Amino acid sequence: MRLLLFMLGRSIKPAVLITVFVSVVSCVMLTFCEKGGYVFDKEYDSVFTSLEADTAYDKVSEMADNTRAQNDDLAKRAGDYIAAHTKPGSTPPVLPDGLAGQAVRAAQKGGDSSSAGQSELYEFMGSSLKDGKESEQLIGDKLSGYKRNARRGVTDEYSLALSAVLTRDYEQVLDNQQLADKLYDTRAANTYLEYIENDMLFFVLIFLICFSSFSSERQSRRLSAFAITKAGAGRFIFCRIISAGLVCGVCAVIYCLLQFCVMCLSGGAGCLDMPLQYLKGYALSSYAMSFGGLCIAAVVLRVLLAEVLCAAMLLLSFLSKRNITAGLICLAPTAVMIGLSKSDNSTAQFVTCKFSFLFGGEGYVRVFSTPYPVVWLYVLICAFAAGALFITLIAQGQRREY
Amino acid sequence: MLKAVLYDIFKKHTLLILIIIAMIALSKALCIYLQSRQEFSPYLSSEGKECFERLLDDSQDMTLEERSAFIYDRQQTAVAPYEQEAVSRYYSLLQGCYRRKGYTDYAKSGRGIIDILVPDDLIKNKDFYAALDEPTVIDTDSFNRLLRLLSFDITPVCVMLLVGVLTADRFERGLDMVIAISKRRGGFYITHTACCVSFVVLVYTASFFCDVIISGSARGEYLTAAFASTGFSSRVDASVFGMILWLYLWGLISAVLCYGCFAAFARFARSTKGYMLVTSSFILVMTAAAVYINGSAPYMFAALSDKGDMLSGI
Repeated sequence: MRLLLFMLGRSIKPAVLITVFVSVVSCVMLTFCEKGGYVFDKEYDSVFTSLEADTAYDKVSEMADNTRAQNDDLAKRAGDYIAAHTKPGSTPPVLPDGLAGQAVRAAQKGGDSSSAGQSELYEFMGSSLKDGKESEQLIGDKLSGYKRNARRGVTDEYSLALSAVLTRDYEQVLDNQQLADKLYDTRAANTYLEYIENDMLFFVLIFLICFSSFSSERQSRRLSAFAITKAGAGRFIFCRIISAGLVCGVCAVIYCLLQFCVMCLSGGAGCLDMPLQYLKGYALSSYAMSFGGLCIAAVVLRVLLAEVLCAAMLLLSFLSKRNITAGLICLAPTAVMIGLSKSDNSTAQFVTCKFSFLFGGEGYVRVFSTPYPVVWLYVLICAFAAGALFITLIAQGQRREY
Repeated sequence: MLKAVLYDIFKKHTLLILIIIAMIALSKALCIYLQSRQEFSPYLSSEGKECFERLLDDSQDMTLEERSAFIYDRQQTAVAPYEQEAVSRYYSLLQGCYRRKGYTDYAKSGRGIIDILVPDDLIKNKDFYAALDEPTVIDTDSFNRLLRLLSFDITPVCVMLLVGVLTADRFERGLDMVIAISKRRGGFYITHTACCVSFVVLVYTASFFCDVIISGSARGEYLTAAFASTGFSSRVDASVFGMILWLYLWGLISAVLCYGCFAAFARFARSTKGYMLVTSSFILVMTAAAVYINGSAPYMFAALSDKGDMLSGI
């Protein structure tokens, strides 16, 4: 215990320093993403505050249609002119002065008659509100579909079990939605979720914390010095693994919390009690959770992922004799995870912990003809992988030569 | 002295050199593999490409008006799907040329816009647009391929490894103390740095030329065309060759700067662990910046950054 505390005390300070540095960079990136997601947009605020909860989506889509109609009108007039004056096999016709002037003015940024920026704004607002509006109806459709299946006499055991659990979940979701009867500003929440799904700095953080934990001991020949003592290096390695796992978990929590704070400060705090289904792309989620609950789940799942990665890095670091080799080898899992997080494949999405995959859909997978919650499956697999890697490492620590 | 340094780099660290070359080759292979896996390929099929090249050969030295008449004739006779593919590609590229020529004409005389796609700074930068060359139809696939290959550029990682093994490791083992008391220490440092920089330059140049050759960009007519013909940003006043040269020089300067900075880090950190921490976080933070803050500036130490974004951000 004393050894463990000593090791923790020695290794937590640099790790936290690294974490704070990476988190600050990551928060700056998040702020840039939020800027792209209209979080700091004054015009969005003024339009959004004038909306009412019941009619918000219809009104916004009407406004979007209006601005689109203006652009379409210009495009149609230009298209008509082009179609009327095109001669096959000769140069394309030049637009007349009035039309060309309008087209140029509409495309200039920040101009008075520029409609490009506004229509983008309305489209974005519409897409943010769409899931909240349609969620109830989509879930209702699903529920009636399950009832119809039951009436028709579907006898497949798995689909009956699935429809039973989903009906239970969806009814709870509908109850939750009835309680939440106000208009939520989901800009910051949507950007935050999108950002943390594709966050590559998280993997980098684990790499920076873990890559040299054993290789530097081997390089300085401390492990071989321990190995020739009577007790061997087993206890030292065991304490090192435990302390590295703890440090990694603490750093992951700090990293996630700092991002969460940035999201809350930039306007996401208002929708922490919002049902999950109002987020972009989560309309059909079967989890009766609020957005705040999803954030907590996100932190827990990411800490688990961090532990698995940490175990893998520790093992790779243990296998290399020099720091520089460890750095090179540990870059490989980092690069693989970053590469996988860009892929659309469902296995890759599962492995890299994409929340829209884990929480966005029905949320059950088939395990031996029973529906099993995919999030629990993820937790189990992570725990198993981390455990297996740590045990391999401890077993490796029993050897006498380094 | 030179002989000893070269012996140190190439004979004692053969494995390192091989690993660096293998990593670069692997990144290119990965890029080509990922492109071949794409569901909707933006490139022409091989038959379509042949047909398209025949069209280009037949329409050599034509003006844009003659090209319109020429492609209209070919449109009537194209039957096979790959012929139609090539002809429609040619037609859309020609349309793009007219559009870009329209901006120049509009900037000169206030007339000439052919459709409602207009750059958002046309009125502000009128003089610049007026001075642009007339674009022409070229095989844009090559340039897109080149940009894709260049965006899988991992030179900073290679430089990090090279400096890590050759310099940081030496500082960690205290070998610089040994060198410091020797008579020709100045000579050693100069020769060592010169050898490493020339190795970096050599590797970067070789990798760049491989990219150019793999993507099929090394062709005469294509290189002399105005850059606007490639369909990228119309804000650049250069030929395609000039642009490729600019990309090369930019990458080369980045690589050499990278070497300098990393060597300085190695000297200050004096441990491989610290060196690896600083440089890898440096590269990865720069890469993340290039991904998230897209289109604002070319990033010096970013591995795997999108060069297409870089060009449209100029």
